[in-house]
Amino acid sequence: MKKLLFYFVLGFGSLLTSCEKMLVEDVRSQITDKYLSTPEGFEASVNAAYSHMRTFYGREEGGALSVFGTDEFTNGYGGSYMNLNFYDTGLNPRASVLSYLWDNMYFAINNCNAVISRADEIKGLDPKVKTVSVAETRFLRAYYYFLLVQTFGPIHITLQESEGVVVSAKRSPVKEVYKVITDDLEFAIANLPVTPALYGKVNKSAAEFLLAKVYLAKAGPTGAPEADDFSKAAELAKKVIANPNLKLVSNYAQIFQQGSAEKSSEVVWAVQYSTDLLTTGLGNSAHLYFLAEYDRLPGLTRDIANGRPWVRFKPTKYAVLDLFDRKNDSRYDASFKFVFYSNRPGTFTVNQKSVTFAAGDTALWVADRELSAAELAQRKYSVYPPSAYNDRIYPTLTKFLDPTRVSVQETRGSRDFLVFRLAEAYLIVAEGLMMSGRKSEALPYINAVRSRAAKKGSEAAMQVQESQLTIDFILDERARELLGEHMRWFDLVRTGKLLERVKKYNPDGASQVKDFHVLRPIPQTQIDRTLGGSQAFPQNQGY
Amino acid sequence: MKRQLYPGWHVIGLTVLLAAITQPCNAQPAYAHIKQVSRTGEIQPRTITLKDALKALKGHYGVDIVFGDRTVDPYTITTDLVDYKLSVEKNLLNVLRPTGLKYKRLKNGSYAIISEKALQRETEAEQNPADIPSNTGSANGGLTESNLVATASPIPTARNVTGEVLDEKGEGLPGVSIIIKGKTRGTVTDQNGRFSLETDDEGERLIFSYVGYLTRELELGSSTSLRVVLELDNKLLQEVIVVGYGTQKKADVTGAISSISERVLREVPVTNAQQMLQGRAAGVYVVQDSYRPGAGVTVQIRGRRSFSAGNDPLYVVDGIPISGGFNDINPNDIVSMDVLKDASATAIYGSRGANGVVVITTKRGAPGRISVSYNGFSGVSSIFRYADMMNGPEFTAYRREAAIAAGKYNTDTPEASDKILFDPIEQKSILEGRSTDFQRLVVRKGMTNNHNLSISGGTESTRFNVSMGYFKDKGIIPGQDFTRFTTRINLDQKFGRIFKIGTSMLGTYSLGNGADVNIYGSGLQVNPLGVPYDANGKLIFRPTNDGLITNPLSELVPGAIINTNKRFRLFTSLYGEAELMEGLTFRMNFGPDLIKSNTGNFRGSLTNARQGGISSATVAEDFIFNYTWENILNYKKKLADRHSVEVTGLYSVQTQTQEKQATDVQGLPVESLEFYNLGQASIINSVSSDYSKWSILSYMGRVNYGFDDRFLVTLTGRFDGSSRFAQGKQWGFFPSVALGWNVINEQFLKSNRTISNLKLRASYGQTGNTGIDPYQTQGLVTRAVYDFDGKPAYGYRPGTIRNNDLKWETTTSANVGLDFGIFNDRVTGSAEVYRSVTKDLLLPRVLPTTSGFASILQNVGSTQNVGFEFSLSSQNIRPQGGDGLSWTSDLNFFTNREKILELSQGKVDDIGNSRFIGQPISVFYDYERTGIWQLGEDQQALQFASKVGQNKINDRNGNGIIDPDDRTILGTSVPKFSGGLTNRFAYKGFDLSIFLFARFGSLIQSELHQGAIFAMAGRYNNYNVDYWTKDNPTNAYPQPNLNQERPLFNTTLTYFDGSFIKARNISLGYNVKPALTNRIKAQSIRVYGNVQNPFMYAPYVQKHNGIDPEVPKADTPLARLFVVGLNITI
Repeated sequence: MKKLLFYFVLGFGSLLTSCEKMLVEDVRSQITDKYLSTPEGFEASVNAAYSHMRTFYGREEGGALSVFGTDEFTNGYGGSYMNLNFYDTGLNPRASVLSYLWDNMYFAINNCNAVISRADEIKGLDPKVKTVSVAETRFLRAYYYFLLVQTFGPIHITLQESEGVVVSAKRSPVKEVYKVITDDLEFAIANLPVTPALYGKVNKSAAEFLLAKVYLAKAGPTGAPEADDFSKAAELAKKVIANPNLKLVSNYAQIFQQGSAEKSSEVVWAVQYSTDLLTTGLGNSAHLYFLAEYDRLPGLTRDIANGRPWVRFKPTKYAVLDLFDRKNDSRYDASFKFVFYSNRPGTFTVNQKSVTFAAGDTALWVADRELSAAELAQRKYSVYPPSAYNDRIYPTLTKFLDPTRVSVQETRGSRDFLVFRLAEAYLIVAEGLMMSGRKSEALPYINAVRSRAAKKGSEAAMQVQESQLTIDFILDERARELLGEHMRWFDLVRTGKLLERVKKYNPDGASQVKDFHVLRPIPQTQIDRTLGGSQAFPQNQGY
Repeated sequence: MKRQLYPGWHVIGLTVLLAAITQPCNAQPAYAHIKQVSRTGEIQPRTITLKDALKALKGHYGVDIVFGDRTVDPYTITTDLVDYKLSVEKNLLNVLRPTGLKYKRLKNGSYAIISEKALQRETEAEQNPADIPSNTGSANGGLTESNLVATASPIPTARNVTGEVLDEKGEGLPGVSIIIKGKTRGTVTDQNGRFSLETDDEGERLIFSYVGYLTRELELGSSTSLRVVLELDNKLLQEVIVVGYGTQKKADVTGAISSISERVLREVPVTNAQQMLQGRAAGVYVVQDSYRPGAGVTVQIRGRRSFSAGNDPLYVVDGIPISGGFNDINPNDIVSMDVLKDASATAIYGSRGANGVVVITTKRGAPGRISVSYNGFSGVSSIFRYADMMNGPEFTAYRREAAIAAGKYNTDTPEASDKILFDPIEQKSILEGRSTDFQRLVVRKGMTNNHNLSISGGTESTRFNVSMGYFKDKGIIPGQDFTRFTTRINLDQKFGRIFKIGTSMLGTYSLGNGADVNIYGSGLQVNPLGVPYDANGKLIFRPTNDGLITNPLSELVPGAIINTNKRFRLFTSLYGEAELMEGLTFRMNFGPDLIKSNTGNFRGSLTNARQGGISSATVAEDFIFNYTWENILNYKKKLADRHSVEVTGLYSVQTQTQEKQATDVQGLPVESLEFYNLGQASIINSVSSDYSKWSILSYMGRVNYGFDDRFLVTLTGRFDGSSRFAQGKQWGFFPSVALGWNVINEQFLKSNRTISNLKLRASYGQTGNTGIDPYQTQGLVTRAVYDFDGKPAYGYRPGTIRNNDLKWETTTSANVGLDFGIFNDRVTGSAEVYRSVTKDLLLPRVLPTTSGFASILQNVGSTQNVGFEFSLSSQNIRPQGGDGLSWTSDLNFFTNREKILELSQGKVDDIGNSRFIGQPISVFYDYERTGIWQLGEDQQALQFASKVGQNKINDRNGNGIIDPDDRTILGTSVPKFSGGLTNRFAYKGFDLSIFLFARFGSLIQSELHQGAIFAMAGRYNNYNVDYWTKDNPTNAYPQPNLNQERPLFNTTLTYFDGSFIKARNISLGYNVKPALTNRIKAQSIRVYGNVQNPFMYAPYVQKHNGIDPEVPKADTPLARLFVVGLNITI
């Protein structure tokens, strides 16, 4: 018996020592953060730092936050985030679109901080690679802070990768935030190459471009204005224009052609998307939102070429009817789609008449003018003159349409999102100089943009005089040139024109927009989760 | 894990052990020793205990010999008294002679050993009726004389009384002793239970006594012909409770355990074994997750403790902890479920016992003839209640109102306005009064079929129980069904005197369809003005011109949507057991568990998901290998008669490895490929695989000590190491102590005729919880994708925070329990009070995202559960004769109060997570609706950022605006109390059972009152409610509005009282009379009919038009099921 017990003890003993090892975690399908401190992991973390740009550019949330509630666009029929357009009580600290932006930007910032704070410790990292990568990342961090500070005003600043649990946060004055941004961008300008090794990476001009925009915003009512902001903006934008690699595309319509044309000489920097579904992530989905609901009308059905209409952003009458000099300005026709051709042949009832469509016949005309009753009666297809525009049928902004998607329901578009276009640099110079009281110097820059936009033979007619240069003209010109390009709300805020223009041009937001709406509410989750709650992290006024 | 202990005559040395192993498989059993000794005579007769001798006889003759330990323990005999050449009776006579004990042959062929003392006491009892000895049963517990059937006849002074004595089944009981009280005269009943006795006068009293039955005393009266029914002495039917790593007699149990017997388990036909727990055990709260066929349930034992480490109890099947997948077990194979609730009972499972343990035992073979049984039922189900959706005219009015509210409807020119508001199809419907009830188009009659065949039997050395089962639930929603094939092989084999091996093997293959598809929900959404079919009867994909609303019927076209899960599981529990010496056993359990699950999804072009685009398909595979290996040493010893000690030691290892793969594609060239050739797809969306592994190592020790059957102590300690915690924090120690006092065995209660059982229990101990995903301590990175000019640029960013402090979540709990029985256990019950505190909660603490992270898993905070449980079983009417009317009731009632004591920042509310100190773990924290802003209240409405016709919110802090501070705790989903009541009636072979289940005081959030069907925006069909209009200034629901996605403060409309009383099941059965069953050589035949969910009362249903407060979802609704079933045993 004793022997038996002895064997037991022996057996147990040997088995226990070997089993201890089972408690060591066997991590195979995951990677721990130690990887970020290797040269390969460092590169991966820089790539990841770029990926957050896609949470704003190409997503509905980014669109809603910059397109809704402006003079350019109001809400269509489809679903989400309309409160941003209505300026009603739904625009409150619990609105998910705000925590979406807030959370993603701070995840992005921590990602950037990880790159920047680990860079010096990584053994075997090429110092040149390191410097450029850090410069890229500081550009990105500046961008993320820039989106936050424009949207929310005073925000929390963190420049180190978070270690362990951090629950304290505070709202630093806007001035300090802008200091962080300008420091980052100055470093980026100093260290970024003019032509990066890979297209799509940040370059020196992009950093100058961003800094120019930062100075314009900083000079605005929700910024931290200093006397030289405008002139600095102008000088930086001039440097962008001076980049010999960049030049305006001669034909405005070409800028938004899909495919290789996306990489035109006008693009200073674009957020990258691809036709490779494995790397394009959620894709550039901006094609969904501006599109009118053509597919429920006679003779039409949803197809890839025409797109999947989510019917979110409907241009205001100001944008469609008032803004453009249709005679001379090519941008009107280049910006809107008015006609849809039948892709569902058959006989339908249109206007109480039986109409037979063959494939390719005009099925819908969203007219840019009113038609007489007689004129209307002649038309054998659906006609929507401006008086009949509604929240489903309106002129569609064409810039983002993506007829190359793999299927009709596919939301993942492949267009690069053109964040900085050279034309805007001209407009920044013009605005910066004009605001610095140098109107005459500003004039050539604005006329350069207008000349390019002119229809053939209308170049002269498009030229403007110094006396016409006002901030409203600049805003109108920006609308003409940059319609829908995810910056309008910020432009209106920084020029102090949000209330005025929403009240004037946006029928759905006009009645409710208030002066406090120049900042968005801080997400309630941030306030609730911060140590000290609303004492430590107060809400923006008005919400 | 019932353990049969076979006696050794002395301490067996290693040599004997080896000798035993070398014996042939059918080695002689332990009693062979007697045989050898007595036959050869070479060895001098030795002294052995009487108990062992009786056991030996029991084994040799294959008969049952019943005795109380206390009766036989004092005696020893010599081995020469046993001679196997003689009959069992002769041997019994011989071995009992020196002891003065007597045996009695019982009706069922077994023998009972009773003491002389008992007989003596029985005689004393004649003088003093109050003092009836407990081991032959107490007096007749307040019975009236009604069992005595008198025949009126003149009374002679000296007369002959005849009669019969019947057992509980109404059959004659032979060998019952009948004594005239105060006299020495008496008689015994004959073979048929009849007797005849000379008496002197009618004032005399007769005492009827019989082992295993309660003694009865009757006054003779005037009758000369008696019919006496004796009742089983319930106390002798010692219930055996399965505890962790062993079994115990109920009287010896110190922990809080609820047992659910086979009979109760069979009452409600269920898909899932967990459903059998609902309403059956105090402290066990069971809620159905969904009514899709094959859907799971949530089981909480004594409330929730944990936020993220899970609140699921640990399930142990045939000794092996099982992880998930309850649908894999055929409920028909289960013979008992024991729910271990307090720390003492669960401490043996230390690491994972914090949420309670459910020990499931499957059927095993028993020696005797082979029996074959078939159990089956078939049923038809239909929807319990339809959701109240709008019809065409109601919808028309509703959309008009929505347009009016949005200023898009000119009421002066309704025709023109309608033309803009409604598309041509809708206009035609309005014109023609056409309305389609899409809900009713996507509901059908369901079918349930269940067939089980099992064969069991065995000999002393081999026992088996083999079963096969088929179950199919074709639900009430087309496209949803669940089919399960199960096999089970349970084998036990003894070999030699020492060894025993066995296995339980459960094999399951199941096939589920439509588990991820919610056709019903889609059906609710469709605008009733839409048209499902064209003039030719062809399906129309879009019932209206609305681009997003598609026809749910097009998804029911075969091949349009395929969502299937195929699952295979082989769950095995193997054991080997050796009795190393008397009382010392070693047992090894090995339990490999293999699960393979394949899920395939296909969405054809004409589905809501694809909207006429290209088809998509995914395949996901999951493979789990889990094994448990346990080594258990058990030693049992009785010392100096009154001390009993049992020591258990354990070492165990459990490891689980899981591998997953998934592929997601779109653009299959032809739809008939479904998901069987993903390589043919034009686009691969994603390919993924995953691996995870965790392990737990444990050492455990337990000591049970009992003194004089009165005082019981259980000490348990368990060391557990879990791979999921940080280095150095992996080990936890979980001790517990429990005390039991069998008050009934105290002298002062011995003579009490009312109280038949009384026991006090108390326990205190700790248990742990490790139920988190592996790798939480690692700082992991998150993948990001990007590209530069089309070239892939994969990236990684910080994803989780490294946590080097993660350790066990520990629950300390105290339990006090009382078990009682009165009137010969005619009424039994128990009451428990407990308090448990859980510390170091594994809590995903949400962080301000300014930190770069949204949350981290930490050990922070603590929670408390305090509860009271009460269960009662009573025999309200006992059968008069064998098949008279009987009525029994089982009632359980329990309440549990969860409370958060501390959170990540101490005693500070965590508003961001809706967690509040002093409140349950999850509460509904929201604004409080007080009604609707009415006409004339424009100014106030404006002040509160609302408008007339919209929800009016309580400005709780009175600051004149509605801000987040106006939110309040509206309630919790945790019921204030819940319980179950089962009433069973039997009469002449018929039985009726009614099972009610109720919960009170919970708040639910109704999914029928939110989302598309409650957007109040005029687009989708809406729940038909009393909404505000200028002409209908109701306070019930707000005015619809085309411009909204949902009403302002819409969530405030979703909260309802979740209380209900449900009749879960009413079952009526008939047991065919033996006369008839014998004719077809069957042992028993039972036919039954059953209705599930016959009715329910709930404010949510009756007052607020909901469907079912248990699953308040816009998904597969509750069904009422009618079942007919047949059980035959041959």
